[in-house]
Amino acid sequence: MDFKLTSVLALVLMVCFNRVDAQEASKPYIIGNSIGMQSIDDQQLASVFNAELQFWPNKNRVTVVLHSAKSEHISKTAAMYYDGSVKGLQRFWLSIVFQGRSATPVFLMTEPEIISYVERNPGAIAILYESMGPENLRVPMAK
Amino acid sequence: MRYLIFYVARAAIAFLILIVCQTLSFSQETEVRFFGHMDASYKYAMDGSQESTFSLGEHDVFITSQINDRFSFLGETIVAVTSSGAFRISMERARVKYDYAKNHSIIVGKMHTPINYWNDVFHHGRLFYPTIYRPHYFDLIVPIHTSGIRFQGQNLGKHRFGYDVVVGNGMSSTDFMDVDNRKSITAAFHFKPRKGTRIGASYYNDKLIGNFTGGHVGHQTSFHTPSEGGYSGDVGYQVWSFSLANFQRKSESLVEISVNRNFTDSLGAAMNVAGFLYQGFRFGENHVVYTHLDYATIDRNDLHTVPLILTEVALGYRREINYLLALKFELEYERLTYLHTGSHMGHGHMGHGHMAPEEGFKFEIQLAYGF
Repeated sequence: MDFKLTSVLALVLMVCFNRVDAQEASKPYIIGNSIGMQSIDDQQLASVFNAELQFWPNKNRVTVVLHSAKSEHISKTAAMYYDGSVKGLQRFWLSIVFQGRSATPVFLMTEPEIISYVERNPGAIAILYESMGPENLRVPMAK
Repeated sequence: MRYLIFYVARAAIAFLILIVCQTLSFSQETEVRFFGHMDASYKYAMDGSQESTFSLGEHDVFITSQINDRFSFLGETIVAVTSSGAFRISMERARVKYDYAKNHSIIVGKMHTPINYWNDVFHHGRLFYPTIYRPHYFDLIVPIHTSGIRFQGQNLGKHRFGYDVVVGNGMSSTDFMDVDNRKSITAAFHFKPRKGTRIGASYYNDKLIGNFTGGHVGHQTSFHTPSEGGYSGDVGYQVWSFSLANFQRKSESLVEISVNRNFTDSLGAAMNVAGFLYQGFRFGENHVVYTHLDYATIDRNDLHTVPLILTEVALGYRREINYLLALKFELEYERLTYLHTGSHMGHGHMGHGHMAPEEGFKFEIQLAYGF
């Protein structure tokens, strides 16, 4: 009886935790490397992804890392910062680089590639949708 | 002394090119892109003459490189076909940018003047143009390029304030050197109250010694006084400009107004005005129907620019096939009246020597692309 009860409870808990993980993973998570900020708010994030910020408070250069246009996740970033249009996102960056007002962002296909790039480049920032990323790179959203 | 300055300047430029090339070859973040366009047009003039043509437009090699955290390079070189049918290579931008603090930078090299929104944003990329051609004020009033030093700030504060101050070679200069000791000054500011909206104003000041016209005067030099045969006194040249750009998801508009005051000892001040109004409406994500009005008047007293009145109205459609490919169609009506019967400037359009306006319709198609 005790064994059965314990097993059922364990199963319920496992299902609950798995659901929480699945929900957590579907939310966007921010990762950054040496950006000089403990957390970041919506407005700061919008500034970064609209090429309005060149340097972090610690003077590292901002490097925006985005999913490539062929990635299924790029439309989520486009929805957040570029009027919902992937073409709008691409055109925005092409235009702002052509004007000479910002450095070119880095476009990468997969999230492991994005995580690896951010890990190797101080000042890099990215949005993840499949996982929360390594703990040392996570940048919590400020309330 | 002048030859010494010439050789020092030449050596400095060669050294700069060497440093930039060397840095580029080692840089890990260098990007090369190409932009270009092809046009087809049919013209019907009110005097009954007709003309149709296919033409190869500018082809643009665009290079950017993040040299290190603080320094970056931007170069734009075009290959274009001249009216005589020969190819011409021109370096339109070559600039090194130093980001010295937050959003403040110093830029040196050849650049576009930050006189108005169009010149500061679209440059030579037809892919980015909302219409087929630039507004006519680039032919008449607004100096497009300069070589010099620029102090720039952008996205400062809540309203994303930006400033540009440029000290550069004037309109008499070539890409290589200036012909006098006088430098042009441009001061511009703008702010962006919301995404896609930019409001700005600028002031440009130059003095053309001996009314000498160089390579930075504008794209249609035939509207300007030649170095021989015209007025040869000095011309004080000032331009005040105002811009309002509002590019949103469903609607896009651009208002540009420039007032130009040219001062000569012979006839005093000539006041010239040019304006460009553009309004587009976007249907779906990729279709834009637009109209624009282009107007310019050059004073009869002007001894630098050909006195005229120019009006152009157009109705257009732009199909953005993707972010690297756009197809544009435009129907234009243009009326151009020269205000002098004589030819005191003795060339180009002034050579017509009559008051009758040139008037007609034009239908144009442009394919603009990048890759």
